[in-house]
Formats: sequence, structure tokens, C-alpha cells
Amino acid sequence: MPKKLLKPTGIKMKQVIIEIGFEELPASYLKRGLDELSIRIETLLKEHLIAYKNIKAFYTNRRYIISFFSEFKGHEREEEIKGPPKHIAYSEGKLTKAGKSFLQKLQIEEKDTFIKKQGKSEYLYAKIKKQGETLPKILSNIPGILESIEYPRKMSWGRSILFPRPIRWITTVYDNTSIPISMDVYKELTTFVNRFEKKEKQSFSNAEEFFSVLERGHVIYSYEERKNKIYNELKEAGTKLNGKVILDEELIEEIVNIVEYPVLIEIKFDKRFSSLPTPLVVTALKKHQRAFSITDSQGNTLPYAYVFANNPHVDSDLAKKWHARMIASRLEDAKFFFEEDLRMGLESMVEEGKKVVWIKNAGTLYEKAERLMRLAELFYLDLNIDKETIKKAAHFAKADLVSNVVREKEFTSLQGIMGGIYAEAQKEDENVKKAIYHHYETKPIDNKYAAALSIFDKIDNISGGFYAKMLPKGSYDPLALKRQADAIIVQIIHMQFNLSLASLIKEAIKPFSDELYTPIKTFLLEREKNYFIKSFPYDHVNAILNVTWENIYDVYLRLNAFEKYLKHKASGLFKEVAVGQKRLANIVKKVKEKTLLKTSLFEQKEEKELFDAYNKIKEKVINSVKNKNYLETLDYLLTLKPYIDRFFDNVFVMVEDNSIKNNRLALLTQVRELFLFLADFSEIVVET
Amino acid sequence: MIYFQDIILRLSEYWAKNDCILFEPYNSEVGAGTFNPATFLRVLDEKDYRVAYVEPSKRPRDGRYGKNPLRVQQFWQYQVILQPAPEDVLKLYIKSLKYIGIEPEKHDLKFTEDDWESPTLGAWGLGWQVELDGIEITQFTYFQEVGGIALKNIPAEITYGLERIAIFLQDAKSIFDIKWNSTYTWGDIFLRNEQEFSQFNFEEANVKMLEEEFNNYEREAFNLVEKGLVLPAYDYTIKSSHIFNLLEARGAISVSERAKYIGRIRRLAKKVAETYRDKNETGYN
Repeated sequence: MPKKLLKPTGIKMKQVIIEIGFEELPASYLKRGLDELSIRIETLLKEHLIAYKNIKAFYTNRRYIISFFSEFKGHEREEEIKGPPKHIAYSEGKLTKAGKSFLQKLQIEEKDTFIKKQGKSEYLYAKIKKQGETLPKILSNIPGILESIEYPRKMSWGRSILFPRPIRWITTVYDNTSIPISMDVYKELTTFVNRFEKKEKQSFSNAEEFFSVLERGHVIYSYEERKNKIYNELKEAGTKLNGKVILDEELIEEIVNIVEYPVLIEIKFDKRFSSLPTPLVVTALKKHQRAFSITDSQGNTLPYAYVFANNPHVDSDLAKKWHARMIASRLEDAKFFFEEDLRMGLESMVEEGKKVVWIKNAGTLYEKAERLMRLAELFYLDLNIDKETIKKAAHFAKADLVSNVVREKEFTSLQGIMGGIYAEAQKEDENVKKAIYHHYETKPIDNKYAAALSIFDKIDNISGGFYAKMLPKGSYDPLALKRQADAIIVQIIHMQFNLSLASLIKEAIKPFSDELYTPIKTFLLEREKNYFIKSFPYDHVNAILNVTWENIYDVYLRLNAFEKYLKHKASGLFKEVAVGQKRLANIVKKVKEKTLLKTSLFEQKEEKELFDAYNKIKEKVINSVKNKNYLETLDYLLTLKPYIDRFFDNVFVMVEDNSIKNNRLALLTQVRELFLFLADFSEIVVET
Repeated sequence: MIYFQDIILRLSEYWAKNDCILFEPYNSEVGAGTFNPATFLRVLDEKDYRVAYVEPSKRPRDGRYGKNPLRVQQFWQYQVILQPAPEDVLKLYIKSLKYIGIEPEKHDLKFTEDDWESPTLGAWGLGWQVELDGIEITQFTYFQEVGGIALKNIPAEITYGLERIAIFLQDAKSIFDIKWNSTYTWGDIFLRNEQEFSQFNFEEANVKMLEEEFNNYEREAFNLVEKGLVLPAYDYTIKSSHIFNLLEARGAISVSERAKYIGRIRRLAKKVAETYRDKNETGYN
């Protein structure tokens, strides 16, 4: 549809307000619905050529607001309407019955039509003029738009429309008049303010006043303003106590979306609870009571919590009493569980794990810990860590899953963390504690033992997951195996571990089934490629993964060498080498049988020169690769470039004489193989 | 002091004034007021309908031998059905709080997302839990489906947790300390009930007998529903649901069996609901 763009200058525009009022919508639904509503309204304005400017969208859990300035009526516009294909509309240059009926339907004449090519065929098109619609006509689409917004769950409440909760009012205003659209519209200019105002239903006289009525009625309609109020009040509260409120983003986000007017309430709780581990207190307060925690400068919990009421007139002293009681009772529970766990100790939890299934068909928690210990025993040398320490960490790794704390659904996110805390409590080595504490994390961890345990755990998860057929497919990934694979990769690079992924997979699958090797290798290789392509040119990644994949840190070093070389040295040379390498690779492909190179069969000086140059660097290349000194390797290899070029310029390889031909091929094969120590340069893309 | 029985009285008075039929608890064990036929079957009618009643709700697994201050295996719900849900239903609800002595405008009152689903009743709805200063005092649900049937005249279900409200109003330390009237506490009346039933639920309930009963009741319910005797059939459905709850508390049901039992009850509930509706449509009323 062709559209003229309108320039708003010079056109008289008035403020438009659209407010959709509903009962408290779920926090996670709000933003996406507003975005969609706002986009759809803007699209309509554009489609109907109504000039507008300054469109803004706001929301709270009880309302969506769209505000903009626009004209009342759209402009006349031309529209193209598609008709039948040309060969059906016309026969021998004349309109057929089908062609005529298309014209009739639109009440137009042949001169208003034209032929337009679409794909392979041509169609009859009509050009018609349409009067601009008025704003009320356009806004009458709102109920339809609201209904079409996608939400996870919708309900019916006795109207013809479905929405996540009942819509209770729609206010649409043009300047100082209400625009009646279908559905629950108040003819007068009214809105509803904060639920706890004495007079909830309020009227206003024009669009501009609408916002001040909301403000006076304690509705902070701007998301950012609500968020700022929450942030600032929490920060202030922290300063007041010389501490720091833990500004949990997730919790802040939730609160912003469940209040129209956040009011901070400070709650004091019994000091004896502040001896509980900080993560336990923080999680208990957050998950049970949507309360924020505060710590002193050492990170110890202070006996205070902060909640936000949705009521501007709340009597804080009254309200804090019950919040405090609820918080005390939650902390009492947490304390009880925690102390039970301490009494039990990790060793009994490990035993208890014999009775608990890890993943269906893939053994118990106890068996999982045994597998982790086996991996620890097999790989501790590669990772340069102490055997007994990592074995102990592996032994206790899954113990906390049967602890009283972690078994509570609000505390499942403390898996690992609680295990670490229990390890510390029973005076295990610092590294054992850290390994258990951090091993679920997917971000790079700095402690070697934690990193190692994390890798063992994740490769075991992948093996068990593949064994139990809980495979990632597209966006379906019930065990988040993709994330775990990525975490293994990140971790290996971060710790500069020299670890063979191939042997890691081989050992990890042994307790399950050896047949898992190929699918898991394919899966990990794809994740690896995916990972590297994010930060390196894809052709470099291909060039290197073609020759080596299993030592991820080594692949990373090679990629870095490539990058550095390109940046600081002759990048042109690099590309030119690639050209020669493609020819090389293509010719070498033709070698069917390997023959031994004989210098006596050299006929041209270019052959000998290439061979000499090759011999000069061969050992150096091999040694520098061995020492992972890849920049040096590149330097050596690239010295061959002029010799290879001269060879190709002057020597014809595929001569009649088989012995000469094979000898030349043997030489080229050796050269290519030397390059392959570092990478398959034929994969490098050369832009022409 | 607002006594426990005052809360019930006042709620009844308030909802009676708002055109509710005042109903009574059902004469069979139920886990929630929703199971009472005054809710489960009546919402299947498309007629306008309002009802309010108190319901002793039995959840055998929640028993703690009377030792946990906030957990009991039989607690009291106040159940309200408003069909259809009026436009100002939330306002009506907030006013009911005032009527029992809570001043919502001074407190932190929030309606937070809580979608309700009962797999045994084949029912679901959307709504909130109502939190008063951090305590959940009410479940509020717009029913969408009951017995697998999509409802047309959408009702609002308001379920007050009476013990929670009483603790709040009386500043009581535990459920057992709630003053029922000027002389008796909740504990005076029900402590022994909690102790004996906890022991029964967890230790003594006769598993073999209950399993047989479950099978018999299920069969009987199907027989009755075939004969168009919907209300008696529903009685047996409720009974089998309670037996399932007992068996579960007794630890006699494994995870996989659990899903099967729930499926069996749901099939009954659905069959009952469908037959009830069909009979309505053929002019039973």
C-alpha cells in the first residue's frame, strides 16, 4: 500500500489519551501487552494518514495509557487492490467476466486499473481513492486490538472479549471530549485513581488534566518513576543504617509491576536471625515476602527488611507489625531447616542421596556423586589440581539436594550455595567449600576447583540428559543442556584448562553408554563453533576447527593468534596465502596414493627452492605449535608464500610422467600438511 | 475483640445483604468450599446465582498433631460465589473486609497473581491471592472451567481463610489461641480433633479398607450417574476425593499412582458435571 508521509508541521493537533483500565494484571504480562497496543495504534494512525506526534505509552498493573497529539481526521489516500491474474481478467485484450465483476465490485472503470507483476505472474490491480477516517472510527478498533494481544493465559468475564483479567473501563479523549467507542465507555471524562483514595472515580476536563488527576490520585503511571522511587528509597534506607540494601533486580522489577504507588515500609526482625547465612536470609525474605535484605560493609545481614505497600495512605506502624510477624515466621522456618541440616551433616546427606532419583532412568544422586568423583580422579592431573580436594568436593557436591533447606521450593535456588555453607560449617578445606558453592554457576568462576567441579557436573548432566533422551531440540531444552555446554566452554577458556573434550566425553558417558559419543561430540562441537563465531570471524573458526576441536583453550589461542596477526602484521599477506592454500588444497585432494618425496626427481628450481624453504621452517613450525606459540608459527608458515606462488606460476604439476607428477604432489602434500599443523587455510574467505 | 464466630456472623450478614443465599457446610468431608455442590454444581447453571457459606475444609496431609501454630488438618473457609461477577466485585470484597473490622485503607493490601487449578475437579480459573500486610487472607478466582465444562455466566469465587483473618484481627499467636467467643478458644474446641485426626490420617487410617472404598465409591458414582442421579453420584465423587486425600496422607500412594488417582476422580467429576448440565438443558429445572 503506497503511503505519503505526512509532515505534521502546520497541521493543528490536539492531545489524545487512551486509557485501558483493568483489574490487577499479572506482573509479567504488562510490558509486552503495552508494547503491542502502542505499535498497533501507531500503525493504524499511519495507515489512515492521520498526522500525529509525541506518542507515549505508560502502564501500571491497573492501566495502559497511550498518549499522543494528532488531527481528528485522516487524509484522503490511494489504495491499490489486487484483483484476478491478468490471464483470467483478460482474454484477447478484452475484460472477461471475471475482470468485469472485479470492476463492478469496486464500482470503478477500466481506466482506474493497471497491471502489476508479482513474482512470476501479472495481476489486475485497481486504484481507488479512500476518504480519511476519523479518529473515533480508528479507535473503535481498540477492543479488537486488545483481544488480539498475546498473553500466556486469558479469561472471560461475561463480555465478548478475552483478556488476562477483566477490563473495567476504557477512557478515550480527544482534547476535551470523550470519544465513544464500543465497550464500557464512560461518556463523561473519567478515570479511576489509586484503589486506596477516598474517591476512586474522578473526572477531568481535558487530556492535559488527565495526567495531573492521576498524579493527585497517587498513580505513578511512569514505569521509570516508580522504579526510581523504589531505588532511591532503598538506597536511602541503606545509608540510614550504614549498610547496603541488596538491590535485587528481579525483585525490584516485580514490585514495579505490582504497585501504582510504592511506599517503603521498614521492618525490624530479631537479631538472632542475622546469624543465618546471608543467602538464606536474602532468599527467604525475597521469595516468601517480597522483601529486600540489608547487609553491613562486611556483607553480614542486618536485622532489617524492606517491603513496599501499594497504598499511599498506609499506616506504616500498623502494617509493619504483620509484615514483621510473617517475616519472623519465615525466618524461623529457615532457621529450623538450617539447624536441622547442620545437625545432619553432609555425609548423612550423601547417604540419603541413595534414595533420591537424579533424573529418571539415570540413577540416584549418590550415583551421580560417584561419577563426579571418578571424573575428578581421571582428570585432576590435566587440570593441575589436588586429587583429594577435588574428590571430596565431588563427593559432597549433590548432598545439599536432600537438605531440608534446598528441598523447600522457595530455596531450591540455593543448591550448591547451601552445600558450600555446610562444608564450611564442618570445617572442610576452603577449596572444597568454594567448589561446592559455585559449581552450578554458568558464568566463569575464578576458583580452579569450582571450575573443575562445574565442568564435571555439566558434562555429566549432558551425558545423563542424552542417556535419558531429554535432548535439546530447537528451543526445547528441558535440562538447559545448551547453557551447560556453553558454560563448559567458557569455563575452560577462562581457566586456561588444557583439557581434551574428546576424552572428557568418552569418560563421562562410560557409566551410561558408549554409543553416546557421537551425538554428544556433535552437540558440543556445534556449541563450540557457535561460541567462537560470536567473537571471531567464522572462516577463522572453520579453518581451525577443521584441524583441531577438542582442546577448546588451544582453539581459542589459535584464533587469537590469527586475530593479532591480522591486526598488527600484514593482513594482505595473510589473505594472499589463503589464495595459494586453496589451490594447494584442491590439488592435494587429487592425491590417491602417497608417494615418497625424492629430491632427485626435482626438475625445476622452484621445486627445490620450495622444498628448501619448507625444510628450513619445518621443525620450527612443529615446535612452535607444540609450545602454542602460534604467532610464531604463522610467521614461519608465511615465509613459504613466495615459494608457493613461484611454484604455481612456473611448475606444471599434472605432467604426463607419473613419477614426476607424483613427486610434485608429494611435495605439495608435505607443504599442506605443515600448514595443517596450525589451521586449514583453505577455509579462509578471500574477498575479491 | 472480634471473635471467630463474629467474623462468620458478619460475613454472613454482609453477603446476605448483597443478595446471597446463606448456605451451610456440606454434610460430607471436603477439602475446600469449592467441592460443596452449592458451588461445584450450581456454577454449571447458567442462571444468576449468589451464595455464601462457611466450610470446614479437611486436608489430612496438613495435620501436625496440633503442634504447629499455623497448620491444621481442618480449617475454616468462608466461601462466596457471585454469578455473574459484578463489575465492582473487588470493591464489594474490600467493603466486606471493612465489615469485619479490617481497615484496608490503612494497610498494605495487594491483589497478586494466583491462577487456580484443581486437577481433581477438572476446574481452573484466574485471579489473585489477596495479601494483607504480607498475609494471604483470601483467594479470589474467576472460574473459567468446572468439571471440564467452560462456564458461560462467569462467577467470582471469594474464599476467605478465616483462621488467617482471625489471627490478624485478634493478634493471636497461633490458630489455637484464636478466641472463638468470649469463653472458648479455637484450641479448646478443636485441639483434640487435630491430635486424634493427625494420628488417624498419618498412622491409623486403614489403607486396605480405604482402597476398597475408593473403588466401590467410584463404581457407585458411575452407576448412579448412568441412571441420571447426579447429586447422589456427586456425593460419591466427593467421598472418593476425600479417601484419596487420606490415602495420600497415609503415604500409601506413590508419585505415579497419585496421577492415576487424580485422573480417576477427575473423570468422575467431569461425568457428573456433564450429566448435570445435560439434565438442565432438557428442562429438568
